[in-house]
Amino acid sequence: MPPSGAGSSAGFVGPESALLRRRAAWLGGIAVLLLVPVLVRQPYHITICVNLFITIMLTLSMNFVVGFSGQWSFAHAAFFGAGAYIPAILSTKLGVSPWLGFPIGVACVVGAAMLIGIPIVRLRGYYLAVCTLALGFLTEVFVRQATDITGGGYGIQRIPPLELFGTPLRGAAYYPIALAGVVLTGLLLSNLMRSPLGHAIIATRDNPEAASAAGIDVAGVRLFAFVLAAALAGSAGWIHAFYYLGLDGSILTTDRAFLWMFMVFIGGLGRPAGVVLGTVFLVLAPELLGFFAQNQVLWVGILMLAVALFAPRGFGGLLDAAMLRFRPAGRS
Amino acid sequence: MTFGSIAQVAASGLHVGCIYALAALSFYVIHSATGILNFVQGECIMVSAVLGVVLLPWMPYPVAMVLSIGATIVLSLLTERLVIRRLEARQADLFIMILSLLGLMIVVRYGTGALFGQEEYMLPGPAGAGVIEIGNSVFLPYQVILIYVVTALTFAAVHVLSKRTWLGRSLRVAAIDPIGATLIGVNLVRVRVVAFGLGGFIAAMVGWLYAPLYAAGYMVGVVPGVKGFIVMVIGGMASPIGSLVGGITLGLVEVATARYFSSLYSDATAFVVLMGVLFLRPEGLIGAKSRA
Amino acid sequence: MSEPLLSLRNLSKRFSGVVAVDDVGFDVAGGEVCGLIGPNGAGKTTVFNLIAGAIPPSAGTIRFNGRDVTALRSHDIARLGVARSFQRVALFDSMTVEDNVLVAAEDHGRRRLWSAVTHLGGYQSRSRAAVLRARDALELMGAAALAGQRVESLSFGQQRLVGTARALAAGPRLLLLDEPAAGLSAAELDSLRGAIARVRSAGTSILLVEHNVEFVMSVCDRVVAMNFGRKIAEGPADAVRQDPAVIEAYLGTR
Repeated sequence: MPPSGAGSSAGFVGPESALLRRRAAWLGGIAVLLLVPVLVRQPYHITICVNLFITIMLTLSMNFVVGFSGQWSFAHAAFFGAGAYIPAILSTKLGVSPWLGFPIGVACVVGAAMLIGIPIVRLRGYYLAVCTLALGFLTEVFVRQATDITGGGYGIQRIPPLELFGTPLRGAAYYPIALAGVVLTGLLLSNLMRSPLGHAIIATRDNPEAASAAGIDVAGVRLFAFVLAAALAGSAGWIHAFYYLGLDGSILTTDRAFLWMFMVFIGGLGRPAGVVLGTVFLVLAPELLGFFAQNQVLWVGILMLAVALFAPRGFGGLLDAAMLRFRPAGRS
Repeated sequence: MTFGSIAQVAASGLHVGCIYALAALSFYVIHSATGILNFVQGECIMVSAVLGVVLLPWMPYPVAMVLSIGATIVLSLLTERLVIRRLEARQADLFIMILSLLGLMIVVRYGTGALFGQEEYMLPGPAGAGVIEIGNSVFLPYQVILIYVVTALTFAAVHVLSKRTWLGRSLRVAAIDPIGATLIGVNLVRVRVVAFGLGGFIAAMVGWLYAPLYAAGYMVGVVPGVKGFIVMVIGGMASPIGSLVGGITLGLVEVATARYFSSLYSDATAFVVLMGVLFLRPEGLIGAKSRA
Repeated sequence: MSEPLLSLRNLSKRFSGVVAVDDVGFDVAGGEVCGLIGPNGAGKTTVFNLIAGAIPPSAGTIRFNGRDVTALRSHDIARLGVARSFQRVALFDSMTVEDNVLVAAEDHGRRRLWSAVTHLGGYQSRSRAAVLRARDALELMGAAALAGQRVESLSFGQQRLVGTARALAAGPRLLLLDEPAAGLSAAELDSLRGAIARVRSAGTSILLVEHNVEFVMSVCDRVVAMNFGRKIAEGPADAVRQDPAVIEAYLGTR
């Protein structure tokens, strides 16, 4: 089971000032990010940002299900892929509006996650890991082989873009959508973890017996977390599909799921701020250091090992340690 | 469905199954002695084959084979020494352990790709290229016969090792009760080293059995690694027999599916069977409750 | 006469051939402190777990607060107003003391997804109410000073206090205590006695399972004694203490 050190280290109950500071930080951050497409001109840089936002959605949702809920999920890539492929197939083959593709895609992902999740939440420890791994592989194989539906290795191309009032949203115009995706994901998870349901999720991870005695429906809460994470991954998939307007099987390989898991871990499991930082670093570094990009998986794997062996709490842990020095004595 | 075609399917299924069984065995010896799922074993299979391809032009065949198998054993031992031991010293939990091993697996796989390139090569098999023909429809390459033989010998050897020797008994005792084992003088670290070494050796052999029939390249460890792992879980983690039975069963089912239903979905068979087993009988087909 | 708060009838539990609990029946009235005693292996803990919904009975019925709760599992029973403590304490390791208790004080009966995600729809008031309940529970157990500490830094006795406070924070009508006196010093036992009295006067009934017969006699109104899975005596503490069957059960196994 994931380490139980993961969780809100500041406690659930905090003073009103902390709440206000948090809200101010959110608004400030969003304002800054909104300025980016104004300041940045090169389309390539927009792509980097969009890709970064999508990856953060994925790592935050993985951090949620693995760190806060204590459940393995190697099937994440499969849900991401489903959230991308289903709307893409619907709009290319059946002419369904891309906007409509979002609720349909997410509904399919939620349905699949529930179907799979119900038996899965009974499983423990590495049986769960193995099962999600198997699911991930199964989806990979299916997408590769069912060429009629998914286009196999060639994938799905020429996906119609999202349109707003008749204007296609491409390039910089798509930026707000990706930004909205990552901000909403962050906000949703942040609020959730501060609510009774979020507390119930952590309690279930820490001690399911005691959680049950406190009135928490353990299996229900686990299923909820699993399904929510899948829905978030599926949403990220939709955002991906309608930006790149082309898909192929490489987006949902289990190696990708490992990559995101590594990113979460390097960022610091259970510490969303660290996870975001870690993801930003790992996504942007290849752009700045050319050779890194050729072998992203390799370098992330090496970093992952280094973190596991030498700094097991990841960036988030280093952040915590740094903040401990700056925080005044007593509770902030 | 003539008798001949059934026999050919059986022969193919058997050899595929043996590969899976041996791969599962390499996972099994490590897991049963230490409780660790060493994902790097799949990549050991690959490394042994790729090293073989690299070394063959420079030296006689047996020397290349021995060296590549030896290097693979060293890789496995290094995994134990550098990764496991360090994590153990910090009393890291299972989660970190699994992620570290996954990380190492990725590093070995893509590192080999970076070092040796992404092409696939042919590795000539130890048994040579001859084929035995039975009737008019069953073709048994020498290499396939070698697979049968090696599988049988290896499983027999592991069986004898675990039941009849001090080493084997130590391995089993360490699996059941680590603390009790130390009380009777079993050195857990040495047990672990032996387990990793043995696992590495078996995986290295699989490389030389598998690659001549398929290919040798940096991605070659994925299929036998994943399937071998799945077979170990399906077969049950209480005894090596589970791996043997599970592997052969899966091999036969896969080949039969490919031949009589659709070759597209035969890969999926393993995962479907796995999920079925996990839901219905988590201890595996043969096993008792394992120490999950 | 009104129905008792908790009522067990013909309760039995078999574990693959071994009969752990055999046709046990007794009541716990509102506002009373009831003790369940018996030598090791008598089946007390099994009865406890049956009431708490941790395991299903093989036969018999359990009624709580006028409802048949026999088939209910632990989280459903908890939501009806039965709370329990754990022998091995079972606190949530990653949280502070205050948060541990807060989790139990919150209402998990309805998932309230929208409110959880947006923090709208009554969220603030519910949240404040829960925090108050949690603080009250800690006060009642005399553990308010521990509020901000992490669970790892607590002594065993302190952990016990927090565990009991957590059970109380849910505002139960019936509190089940599993060996609350085990491992406590004399001073800690006194404060436990005080806490039990405070809890009872706040309107909560208590059923406790205990080995320490002295302690049970000093806090309980009524006592039920078990041996070999059966009830052997029931009544006021003094009467049960002198009951020959009870004496034999304890002396016989000593």
